Amino acid sequence: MDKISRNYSDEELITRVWDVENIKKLVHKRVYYLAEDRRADELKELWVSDPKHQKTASFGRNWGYYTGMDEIKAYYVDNHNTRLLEQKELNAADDLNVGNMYAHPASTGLVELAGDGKSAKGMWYCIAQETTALADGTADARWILEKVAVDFLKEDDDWKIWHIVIAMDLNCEAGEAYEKQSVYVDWDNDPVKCEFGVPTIEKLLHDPTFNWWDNYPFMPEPYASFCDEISYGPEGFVITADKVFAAGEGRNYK
Amino acid sequence: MKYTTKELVCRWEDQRDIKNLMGKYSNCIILNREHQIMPMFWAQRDENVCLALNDGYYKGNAAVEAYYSAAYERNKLVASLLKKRFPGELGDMSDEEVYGIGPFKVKPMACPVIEIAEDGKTAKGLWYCQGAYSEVEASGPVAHWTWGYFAVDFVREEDDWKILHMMHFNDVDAITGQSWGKPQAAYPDLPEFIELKNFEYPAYTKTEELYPIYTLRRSLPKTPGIPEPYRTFSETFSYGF
Amino acid sequence: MKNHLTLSQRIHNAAASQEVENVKARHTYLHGRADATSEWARIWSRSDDCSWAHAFGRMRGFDQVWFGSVTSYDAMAMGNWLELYKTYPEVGGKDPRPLMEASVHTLVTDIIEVADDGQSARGSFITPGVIHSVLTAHQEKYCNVLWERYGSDFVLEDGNWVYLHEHVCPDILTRLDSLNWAAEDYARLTDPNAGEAPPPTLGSPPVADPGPMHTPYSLLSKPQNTVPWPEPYQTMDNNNTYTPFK
Repeated sequence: MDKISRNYSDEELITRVWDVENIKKLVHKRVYYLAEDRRADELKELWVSDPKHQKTASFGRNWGYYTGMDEIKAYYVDNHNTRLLEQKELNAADDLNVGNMYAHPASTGLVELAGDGKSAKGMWYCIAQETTALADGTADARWILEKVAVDFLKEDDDWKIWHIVIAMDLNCEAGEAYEKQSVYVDWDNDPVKCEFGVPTIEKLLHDPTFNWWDNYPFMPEPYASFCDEISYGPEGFVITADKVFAAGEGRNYK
Repeated sequence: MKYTTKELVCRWEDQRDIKNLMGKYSNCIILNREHQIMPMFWAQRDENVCLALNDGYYKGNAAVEAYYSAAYERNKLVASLLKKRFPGELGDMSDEEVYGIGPFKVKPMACPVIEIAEDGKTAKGLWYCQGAYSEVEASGPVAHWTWGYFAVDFVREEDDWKILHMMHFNDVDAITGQSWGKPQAAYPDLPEFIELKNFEYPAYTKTEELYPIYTLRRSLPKTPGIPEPYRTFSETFSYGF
Repeated sequence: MKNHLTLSQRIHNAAASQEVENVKARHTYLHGRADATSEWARIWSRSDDCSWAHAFGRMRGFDQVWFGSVTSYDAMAMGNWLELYKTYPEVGGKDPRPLMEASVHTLVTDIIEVADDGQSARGSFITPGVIHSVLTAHQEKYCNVLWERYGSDFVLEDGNWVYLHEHVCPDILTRLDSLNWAAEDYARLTDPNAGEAPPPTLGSPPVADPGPMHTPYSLLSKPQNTVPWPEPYQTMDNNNTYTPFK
C-alpha cells in the first residue's frame, strides 16, 4: 500500500518515515521499561502528558478498559506496587521484585501513520513471560501470548502512547503441558485477569475461547485523521455484529 | 537536533544497515558459522573491541576472536562425535561435509532501540532476544529457551558499520519443557558425548558477574541501558569495558 | 550509503522498506485469523511469477497459489467446524476460519533490501511462531511452537507494495511447554522402533515444484541456508530472488 508516498513531497515523506520509526522505538522502549518494572516512569515519559489527552487515555485488556490517567495509574502503578509489597512480606524478601521477571518483547510491528501526521495506530504481538516468586521457594514462570494495539498522539515533537489494548490469547506455566488445561478457562482464577482487577469500563473485549474470531483488537488500516470509530479506546469498540453465543452457551439444542 | 533532509536519509540508511548487520549476525549463529563472525561484523581497526557475557568479558581482537574460534572448534568436535555415533548416516562424510551438524542456535533480534550519534561516526543499539537453541552437551542434544538482551556499540569503518562492543546477557537459559521457576532436572550424561565435558571456552579477559542470571533470590536487574540520542561517543555510556 | 542514487530515489526506497515491513506484518495478522481471502486478495501480486513455497514444495502462478493457500485452507477450516459444532454449539453462526486455529507467525530479525531501481524489495526474517486453538474435535486445546525462517520478495504494482514470492522454512516444531525437541529427536533417532517426526505443516496442495524444499531441524542435518539473507541489488532477477524465474 504505497499510495501515500505519491501525495507527499520528499521532505514530508522522509519525515513520515522517521515518525513511524520513532513510534516503533517508543513501543520498544516500553518493553525495556517493563523489564525494569518502571511503570510510573513509563506513564510519565512514554504516555500522553497533555491533560486533555490524559483525560481520554485508556488501558484495555480482555475484560475492559481503565479510562483517564488517574484510573490507569491506580491500576497499573498503585495496585501493582501494593501487590509487590504484599509479595515482599509474604516471601520475607529484602526488596521488591526479588525473584520476579517481566518480559514482553514486542514483535511484528504494523504501524499506520495518519495522513495528517498527528496520530498513528500500531499493532504488535508478544510472546511474553512473567515470573513471580512464591512463598514456597519456587516461582510461577508463565508464558503469556498477547496482541498489543496502540493509538499514538504527537505532543510537541514527541510521539506518546494514548490508548493501549493488550488482548491475551493464553497463558501457561513454563514446563506444563498447555493441552492439559481445561478447555474453558476459569477466569475467576486466571492470574492475568486477577491482576487486571475491575476496570472503569467492564466489558468482554476479546474471548480467546474462539481464537481470533472476534477480531479485537482489529488490525490498523491506512487513515486520513483520527476519529472515535477507529479508536483502540472504548469509543472504538464494537461488539462483533453476528455474535450470538458466548463460550459454553447453546447447549439446549437436543 | 534538527537534521537536513539528506541527513535524515543517511541516518535512515544507517539504521537499516545496523538492523541488517544484527540480522546477519543472528543468521551466522544459526548456520554455525561462528568462524566468519569476527572478520564480517567486528571492527578491525579498533583494538578496544569487547564481547561481554553474563559472567565475564573478552577484550581486544585476539580475545574476541579466540571466543568465536572456540565456538567453531566446539562445533567441529560435536560433528565428529555425531559421526562416530551415527556411522551409517554420517560415516562416509568428510570433516568438512559433516561440520555444522548437531547444534541449532536461534538468537532472534527484536525490539531494536537504535541511536546514531549526531556526528555519524558511532551508533548504539539494544535488542531483546527470546531465543531457542539445541546444543549437544555431555548429556546429548538438549533444547533450551533463553530470554535476554543484545546491547551493541557500533563504529563506522569506511562505509560499513561494525561492532565495537557487544553485551549478550541472558536472564534465563533453561531447559525447554521445564520451568525456570523451579529446580531444573538435568539430563544424564551419555558416554558417547562425555568428551564434551572437557571442552572449555577461553578464559575471559576478566571474570566477573556482569549480569546475574535468574534465580529466586535475584533482585530485578536493570537492562544493559536504553540508548538515548547523543552527540559523540565520548558523551554517552559504553557497552564495553 | 546509497550515494549512487538520487536523494528522491533514496527516500522512495526508505519508505518502501518500511511499507514492506507493514505488508509482512499484515500477513501475520490476517493469517492469524485464517483470513486467507483477505491476505491473498490484498497483499499479493496476481502475476504468473508469484509463488509460495514450504517444505512440501512450491506453488507457482496465482491460480495454484490461491487454490493451495485460500481454497484448500478454507476447506480445512470448514471441515474442522463440521467436527466442532455438535460438541461446541456456540460455534454456530461464527466464521469457521478463525475457529480452526490462530497461527501466529511473529516477525523478528528482519534483513531488508530495496532494489536500486525501487521496483522490488527482498527480506529475510526469523519467525518464532505459536499456533493455538481452544475448541477442537478431540476436546483438548493446543499450542504448538513453530519456529521458521522466511525469504520474501515484494514488488511495486500500481503504487502498492505486494508479495511476489514467499518461501517458508520450518525449523523447530514443539509444544508449549512440556517437550524438549532436541532430546526427543535424539531419542527417536536412537530408538529402532520409533516412527518419523511429525510434519511441520497442514496439508500438501498441488505444487509446480515438488519438495522437499527445506527440512526442519534434525540432529543429523546441518542447519540449512534455504533463504539466504538478501544483499544490496540493482533489480530483481535470477541472481536476486527467492524463486527462480521460469
